[in-house]
Amino acid sequence: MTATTGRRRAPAIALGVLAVAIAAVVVLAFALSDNIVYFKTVSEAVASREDDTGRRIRMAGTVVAGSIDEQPDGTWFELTEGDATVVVEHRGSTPDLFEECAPLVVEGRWSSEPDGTTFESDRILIKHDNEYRAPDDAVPACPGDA
Amino acid sequence: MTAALGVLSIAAAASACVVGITLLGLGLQRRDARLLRMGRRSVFVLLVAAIAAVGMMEWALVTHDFSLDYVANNNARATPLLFSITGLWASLEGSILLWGLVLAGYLAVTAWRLRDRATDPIVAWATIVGLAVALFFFAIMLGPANPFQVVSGATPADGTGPNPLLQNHPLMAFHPPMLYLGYVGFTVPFSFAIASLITGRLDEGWLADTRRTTLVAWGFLTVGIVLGGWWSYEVLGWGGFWAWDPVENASLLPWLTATAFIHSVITQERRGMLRVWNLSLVIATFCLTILGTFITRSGVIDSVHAFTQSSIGPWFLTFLGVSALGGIGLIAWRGDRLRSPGRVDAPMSRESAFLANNLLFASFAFVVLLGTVFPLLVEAVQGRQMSVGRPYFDRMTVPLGLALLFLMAAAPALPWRATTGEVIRRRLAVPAWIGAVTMVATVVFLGGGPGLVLAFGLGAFAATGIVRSLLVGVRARRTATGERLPRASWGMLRANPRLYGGLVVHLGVVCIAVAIAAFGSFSTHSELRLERGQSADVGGYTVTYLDSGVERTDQKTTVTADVRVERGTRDLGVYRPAISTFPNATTGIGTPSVRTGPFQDVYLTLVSSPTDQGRITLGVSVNPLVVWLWIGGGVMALGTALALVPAKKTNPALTRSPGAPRAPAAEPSEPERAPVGGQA
Repeated sequence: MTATTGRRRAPAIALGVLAVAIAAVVVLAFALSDNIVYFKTVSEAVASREDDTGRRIRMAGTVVAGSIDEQPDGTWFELTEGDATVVVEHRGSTPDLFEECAPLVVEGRWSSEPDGTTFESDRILIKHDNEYRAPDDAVPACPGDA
Repeated sequence: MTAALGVLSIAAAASACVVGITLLGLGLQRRDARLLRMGRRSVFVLLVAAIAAVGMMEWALVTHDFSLDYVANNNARATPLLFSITGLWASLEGSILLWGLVLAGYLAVTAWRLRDRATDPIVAWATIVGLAVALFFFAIMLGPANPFQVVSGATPADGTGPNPLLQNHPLMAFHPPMLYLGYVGFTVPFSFAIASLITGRLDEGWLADTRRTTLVAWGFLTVGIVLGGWWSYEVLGWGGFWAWDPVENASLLPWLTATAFIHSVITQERRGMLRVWNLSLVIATFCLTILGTFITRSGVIDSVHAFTQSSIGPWFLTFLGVSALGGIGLIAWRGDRLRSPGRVDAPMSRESAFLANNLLFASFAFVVLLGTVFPLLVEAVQGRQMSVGRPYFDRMTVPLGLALLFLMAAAPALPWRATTGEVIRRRLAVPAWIGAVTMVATVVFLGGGPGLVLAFGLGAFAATGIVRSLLVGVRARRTATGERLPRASWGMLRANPRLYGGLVVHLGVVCIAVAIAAFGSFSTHSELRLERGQSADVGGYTVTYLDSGVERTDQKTTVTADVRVERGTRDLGVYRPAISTFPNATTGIGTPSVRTGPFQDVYLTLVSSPTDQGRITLGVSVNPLVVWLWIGGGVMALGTALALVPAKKTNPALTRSPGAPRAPAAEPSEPERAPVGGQA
């Protein structure tokens, strides 16, 4: 850098800056790792459930037809993708487009109960498709239809 | 026909760039003034070609010419005229075209402004660099991002229309062009920085040449970002104005380095210091604008804004790499010539404040950059997809923001070189006391965490300091010239527009900082299930669901709920949050309805439309001080405009007698001693 202070103070200043920089990097690394939210499909999430306990993750799948159960304290539904299906307990409101067969992403944690297999979510992100399908295009099959 | 003409225009533009670069290159090598002048004119040919290309695209959009792929994807017969026009920047290819046009405009204005210096090597090199950047953008349009791509097969009868998010609000007309006028403008100081490195003329000349352009670009970028926040809040309806979304970050990153740059150059002009910082900051700003476009337009990060996916990613990444490495290489090459004549004399001086400013802004930018690209790096290396949550950004940027707020308040009081404690005490005593009192009052009356207390306290500290500077300046001028208040104020501004314009901008920053802090600490959100006629009390307001209605047009179907908002006995009106669905889309868009007050907003969203039992779910947020975000943005724009007023350091007291010659207009740089109307 171009700016320098008196020669006597330069080493002390440099040391100070280095210490601050190291501290900053450490804080940064912790803050970053604490806030990483992995994105998985339902089958991936089920496979890695042991590793993910307590951690916040996002899970992508499709809502199973006929599985939506709206209660006063939350909404229960089933999310499926690939071979796996998970029961999701969602706290909070559901967006207007939340419906059967909707492709969506939930964000939350696996239930912390000892034998719990439900996923507790507090955020639903409806996947916005950039491509708009004309009405006559084939609609993907809805999981859960008999 | 339109497609052919469009492609021809783009090809002409690209050719103009090539011809210009060649002529200027030859002219420099042979020191031939005639070649240099000819090469310079290619900039104007570029502008004409760019205007023609944009004209063709707008014509195609407005006449719904669906033989063009772009029009078929971003326009429909039912699309209103305004959104047909704004369809130019609705997705990738069109926005690259807009970028090309804005760049051609900036290059043309710069070439015209410096027309008397066409034979100056620095101007010639800067023009070459500018044309090279333009060549990149127009070349992409001849290849992977062709806006005039013709539909393969039969021409569709109707297009799919623009993304519904982009049709919801007239603001769509202003937000992207504002941002582009900002982004693209930084190409000019960048090209001059590269030119100065190449020619070895590393003094302050290039700063003076580009100062106004940099400030104009910065102003537009600031307005563009604030408009983005406004759009997010009023139109997108998720309840906030900033989500640390990768594309939002993409616009913030160059703003951070550009803000550091416009401050840091003052130190170089005054004392020739911080040269490497300035060159690095402007190169970084340019690279971040390219990175920003890459992030926004290549769909590489899954984000709310990633309107398109495209194969141009590698091209942008390459261009970004070349620019960054080229810049770093040039700085390294000229390293020994960049040693500054001056040094920081004392820790409590304006120079060290600017140095601290650079460090804080650079750290801020680094933190945001890391959080934004980290998911990319992880996915590239490990193949796992992830995102970085909000708390990382909030936690890391708040301390930096508060430190910057403090610096903003204290630095203008620090003189150059060195100072005694007495001077600082005199200038900062009153503001510091008011800041401290505000902090105590915040703790006592509002509660809230340390962040809020500091934000309010430092905001008061800064605001008082600014008001003091303005008052002292005006009073000094009135004493010297006997002018009335309005004339004295204007005269004071014209004597030192950068200082006083800058102080006004800082006032706008205080508004925004205080509003952000209040919103973060005190905004509330509830969701209510209401039947027709039912009321609920939220945060001191009473909301009553009156009725709902459905409106169907060719374009969309909208469900609206009428909600009355009252405070005590005062009726604040009926507000209409809505949800719209578009025929060709699988998604629906919510539209919030906001009752804006000077101290609080009541923010209504329709979370779900009426059920079979006629019940709606209404989202009600009470948000404090949000309007001050927009007011602050306006003040920042005003301050920027004031800073651009041409300086005129005449003292009317010296020219009282009519017919006496006026003092000559001042040079752009600030003098050592404050003129009439400066800091006391």
